[in-house]
Amino acid sequence: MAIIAEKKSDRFNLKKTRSYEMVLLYRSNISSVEIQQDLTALFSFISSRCFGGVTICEYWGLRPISYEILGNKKAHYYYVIVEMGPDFIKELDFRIRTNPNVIRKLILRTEVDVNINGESKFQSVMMKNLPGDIEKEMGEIQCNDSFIYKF
Amino acid sequence: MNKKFGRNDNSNKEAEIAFVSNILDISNTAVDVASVVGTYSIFSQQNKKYAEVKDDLILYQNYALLKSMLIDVSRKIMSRYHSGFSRKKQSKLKKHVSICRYLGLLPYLK
Repeated sequence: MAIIAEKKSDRFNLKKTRSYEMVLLYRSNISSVEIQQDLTALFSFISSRCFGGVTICEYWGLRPISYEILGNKKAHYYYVIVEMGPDFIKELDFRIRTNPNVIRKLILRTEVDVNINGESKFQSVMMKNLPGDIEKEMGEIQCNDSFIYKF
Repeated sequence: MNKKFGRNDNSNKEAEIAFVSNILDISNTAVDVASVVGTYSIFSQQNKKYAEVKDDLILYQNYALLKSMLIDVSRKIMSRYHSGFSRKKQSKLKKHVSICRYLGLLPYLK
């Protein structure tokens, strides 16, 4: 007797969708083109393999780190919100860990209401505080438009 | 004398006012003694500035606010006795400060 699964959703319980937020640090000795390629590959991995979707990708700038990480004193900070099930987090974790350009990663579970339809756009707390940040006025944080991810 | 780890008792205020008025001879003036005499002491629980911070503001993204909770000399987290936080709020602060230190927004040491 052969058991055939008619749909992939029957094997994995895809009805569970949770929202996760990720903070990724990329090394400073990298160009914007390589980061765009890495992020597109990662988001396509999430949509195809993990049966999820990416809603938001923010760029917090090239910031100085308070201590040295693998020879880097500055890093590019990216903030991503993902909606997917809990079954594929380990694969996503392994996928990011093997990438040599990523220095640090953080995955947390959140409950965020993102209103894409309409005029209200979601902004994280860090993006709201960026214009009034002291470090930006001193010139330590640099925000270039080429590093912002465009869907 | 004031009690160590004492509660917010107002019974010591009258004793302080009487003690100071005898020294300063303020009986003929129109000055309010309570405004001149410090009504707080080292061992009371009135010197706590951060107890009014809301729970929603304690996030790892508000690293500038969490930086004020650290001691300047050693970059350690302020104790609950000095900050005035409840047990739940202090545990949340510890969690988000550890996240900031991992991401590099705050230092571990000076």
